Amino acid sequence: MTFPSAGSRVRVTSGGGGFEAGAVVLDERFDASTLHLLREQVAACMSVVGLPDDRGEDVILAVHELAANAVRHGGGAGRLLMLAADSTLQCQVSDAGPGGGPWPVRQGHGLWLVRAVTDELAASYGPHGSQVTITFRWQGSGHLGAQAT
Amino acid sequence: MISGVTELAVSVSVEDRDGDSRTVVRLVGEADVTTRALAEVLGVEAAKKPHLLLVDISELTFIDSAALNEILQAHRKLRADGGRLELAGPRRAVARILQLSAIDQIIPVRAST
Repeated sequence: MTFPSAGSRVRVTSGGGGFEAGAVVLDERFDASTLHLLREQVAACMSVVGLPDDRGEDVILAVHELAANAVRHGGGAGRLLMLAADSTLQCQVSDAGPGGGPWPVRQGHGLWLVRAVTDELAASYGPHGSQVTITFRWQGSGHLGAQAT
Repeated sequence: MISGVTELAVSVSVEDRDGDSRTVVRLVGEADVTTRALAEVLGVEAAKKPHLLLVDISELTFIDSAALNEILQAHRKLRADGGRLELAGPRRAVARILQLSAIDQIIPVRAST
């Protein structure tokens, strides 16, 4: 798929692994050497999104686990795209392969953690890579609610 | 092998308390899939078969499933050798990860060392 640039708005209705509409709050490539930076970048986004503090930690953990899996099993690198809308945050982690099985099987304990903290998880995989989208929902309006209708 | 720059300082001390020696492994920073020092140190210390291997995580700010798995493996090895591993002093965020992963149901977690 084609990734939107930061600050743009997207709506993916098919093939996007459960993506809805929203504002792009983060779009970053990562590899093993930048996993810790990715966590910091996600943390910095939490105040922008308006997620409650404790759920922000959940987002950092879940995104890290997906990114770490991409580093270990998805060719060593990947891309994170975060979309925020009213009371909803979606994080999509994609990698370029090499495949070999669905994420839920390869993920192991990491996916257990991801499932434990997310409201929804959609995954697709194939010979050209894997794509996982996780969704967080919370009560009340996010800071971006007025913009993303 | 994955190598990375997530910063984790691992230090080891052997302490005598009430005539009983114990090994304390202190983790400072973040532990994740790229921090190989954790597995290396735990492997070395577990192989010495201490009665108690206490992992001080009071200065640990993040831990992922890969690092938890390294601790779990050291726990299993120690238990097989008749010793035990315990975690000490988790901060709130790390304590939540221990709870979510159910590691705190497997490995004893104490409030402090």
